[in-house]
Amino acid sequence: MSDQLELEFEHVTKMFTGDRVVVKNLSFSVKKGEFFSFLGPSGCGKTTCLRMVSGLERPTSGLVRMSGKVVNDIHPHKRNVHTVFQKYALFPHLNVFENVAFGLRMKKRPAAEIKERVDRMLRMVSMQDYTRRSIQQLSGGEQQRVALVRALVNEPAILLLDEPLAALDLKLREQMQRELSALQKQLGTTFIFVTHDQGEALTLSDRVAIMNAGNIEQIGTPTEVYEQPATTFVARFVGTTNVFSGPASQTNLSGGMPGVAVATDGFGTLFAKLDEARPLPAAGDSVGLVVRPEKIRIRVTAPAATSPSSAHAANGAPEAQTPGGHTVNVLRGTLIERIYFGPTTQIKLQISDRLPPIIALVANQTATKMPSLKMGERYYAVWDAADSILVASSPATAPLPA
Amino acid sequence: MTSKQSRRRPPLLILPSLAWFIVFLIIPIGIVLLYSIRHKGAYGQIDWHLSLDNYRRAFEPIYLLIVVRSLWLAAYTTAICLALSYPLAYFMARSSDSAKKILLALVIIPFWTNFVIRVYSLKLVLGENGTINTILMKLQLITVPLQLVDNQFGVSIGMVYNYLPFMVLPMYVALDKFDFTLMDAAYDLGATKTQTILRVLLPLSLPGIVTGSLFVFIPAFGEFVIPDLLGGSQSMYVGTLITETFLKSRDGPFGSALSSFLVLFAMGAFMFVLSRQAAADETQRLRPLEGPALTPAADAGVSLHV
Repeated sequence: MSDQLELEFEHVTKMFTGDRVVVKNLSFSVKKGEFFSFLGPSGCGKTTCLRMVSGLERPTSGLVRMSGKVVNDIHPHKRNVHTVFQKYALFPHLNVFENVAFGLRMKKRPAAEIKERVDRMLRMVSMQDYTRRSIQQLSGGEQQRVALVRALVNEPAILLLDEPLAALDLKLREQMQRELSALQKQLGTTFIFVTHDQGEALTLSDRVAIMNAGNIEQIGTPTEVYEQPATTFVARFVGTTNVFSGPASQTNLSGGMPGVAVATDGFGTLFAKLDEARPLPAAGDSVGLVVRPEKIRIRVTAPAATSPSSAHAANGAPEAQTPGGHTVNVLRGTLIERIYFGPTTQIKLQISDRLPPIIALVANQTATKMPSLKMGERYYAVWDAADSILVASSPATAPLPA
Repeated sequence: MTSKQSRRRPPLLILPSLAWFIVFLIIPIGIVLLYSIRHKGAYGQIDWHLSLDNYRRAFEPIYLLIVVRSLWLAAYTTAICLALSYPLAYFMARSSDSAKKILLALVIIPFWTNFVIRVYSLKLVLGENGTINTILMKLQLITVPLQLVDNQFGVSIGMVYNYLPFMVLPMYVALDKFDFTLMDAAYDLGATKTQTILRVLLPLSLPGIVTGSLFVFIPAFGEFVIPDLLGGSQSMYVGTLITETFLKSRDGPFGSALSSFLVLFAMGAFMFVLSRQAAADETQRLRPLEGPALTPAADAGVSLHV
C-alpha cells in the first residue's frame, strides 16, 4: 500500500521568523502518477508546501516522506523532484538548449546522452528549432515550455508546478492546460500543481486540496469539492455559490425523509436533505447551507400548493413546500442584475436590502420556455432541498474572492 | 521623435561639458604627449629636439622592474578586494531594504574624510606606537612592536582599505539586480552549492566583477600617495616614479612619456573589457544584469569624493 504513495505529509508545520505560522499541522498523501493540485488564495501556504516538497524549505515540525522515506533533511539537489517556477526562473545567460541541459550537466551525464535527451524533450513540446535561441527571444508560452521540459528532462518522480500558467493570456493558458494534461498522461509522472485559479484546478486535477490560512479545508476529486464542499470556504472558493448560515435542527421533509432545517438570519428557515455520509450537526450548531446557482430555478409565480399568504410573508420568508412530493426552498426577491453569458444567464435577486443577493444561473435552452426577465420585477427563486449542501462554517479568516 | 528633434537642433547643452573636456582633458593630454617627445637639456631646460628616446628609455630594466612591481601590487589589491567584496555585496543584496541603506552608508561614510587624512591615520593605527601594537603589547601577546607600516604590508593594507568601496559598489549593483530564484532553480535541477555559484551566480554577476576590478586595478596601478605614505623609502612604484621624475629629477619629458604609457595602459584595459562585453552581448544577445553602466556610484545613488 505504502509503495503506491509518492508523497506523504505527516503533521507538517512551517513557521517563518517571528513565529508566523504559514502551514499548520498538514497531513495528506499523493499517489504515484496522480495529478494533485493545491488550490487557495495567495498567502494560504500552498507555495510553501511545494517548497517543502522540493527541499527549498525545511518543515519546522512533522515529516515529509517520498516513496516511504523521510526526506526532511535531504538537500534539494539530492531529491528526485523538479520544479516549474512561477516566473519560470530560466537562466538568462544560457540558450534554450543549455537551459534544458542544465540538470543533466550537473549530474555529469555524457554529452551524447545530454544531446539526445534534450533534443527529444524539445521535440515533444515542438521547440526543436529554438535550441540556439536566447531566453530573451522567447514569448511567454515558449518560455513556459522550456521551463517545463527543463524540469522533465531529468525524469523526476514528482514534478512541481508553481502557478506556471499565471503569466499567460487566456487563450495560451487554455492551450497549455491541454498540453500539460496530455503530457502528464503520456509520462505518468506525479504532478503537484499550485494555483489560485479554481477553473484550472478542476479541469486538470485528479484530486484537489483546497487550502486556507495554512490549513487544508478539503481534499477531493474536482466533482467532490464542487458538489460536496466540506466548508463554506470551499463552497465560496470553488465556483460561484450562495451561502446561508444559522443553527441547524433535525426535521422531516415531505415523504418522511430525514432532513435538516437551518434557521438563517434574514432568509428564514431553509431545508436540506440529511446526508447519511456526513454527521448530523449537533442541534443548535451553526452550519452553512450552500446552493449552487445552477440548481436554482426562477419562477414568476409561486410554486404550486403554496398558500399565497405564506409565500408573501415579510421579506419573502420561505416555507417548506412540497409540490410533487419534494420539499423545496422558496425565496422571493427583486431582480437587480442580469448578465448574459451565452449558454446561460446569471441573475441576482435582492431579497432584502441588508442581505447579499441570491445568485442564480439560468440555462438559455429555449427562448420560449422562459419568460423574459425584467429588471426591478419580483421573482421566486426555487430549489430542491436535496440540492442544498450542508457544510461546516469556516471562520472567515482569509479574504474571499467576490 | 525626440531623437530626430535632437539630431536636427544643434546640441547646445553639451557645449559646457565639451569645453570642459577640451580644456581639462584633450589639451593637457596633448601637452603631455608633446612633452614626452622633447628632451631635457644639459642645464635642465626643455629642448625642441624631438625623438622617441624617452619611450625607449622607459623599457630599460630598472623601469620595467618598477612596472612589474606596480602591476603586481595592483593585481593582488584587486584580488583581495574582490575576495572581500563579493561576500559583502552578496550579503547586502540579500538584506532587507532598510538594512541595505544602512550597509551602503557604512561602506560610503569613510569617503567623507579626506583621502590623505585617511591614509595618514592608518599610519598612526599601524605604527610602532600605534593602536594595534599598543593593544598587542598590553595583552602581552608580543614583546617587540610589529613592523606593520613603512613596508610592503603597510602599502597592501592601505591599498585594500582605500579601494574596497570601488569594488563593493559595482558588485552590489550587479547582485542587487540578480534574481535569486535562479539559485533555487539551480538547486532544484540538482546543482550543488558550488555548482550553483560557478554556473549561475558568478556568470550572471560577471559585469559587476569586471567593472569593480577595472575601478580598482587601473587607479591602483598608478597609485603614488599610499606607497609614499605607508611604504617607507624602499619601494618604488610607477606612480611614485612619475612623481619623482617630475619633482626631483625635474625631467618633465621622461615623466610625460611614463605618464603617456600609464594613460595608454588604462585605455587599453578599458577598451579590451568593453570589446569583450560587446562581443558577449552580440553572440548571446543577453543583458543579464543590465551590466553596470560603468557608473556604479551613480547607480547606487551615492557619490564618491576621493
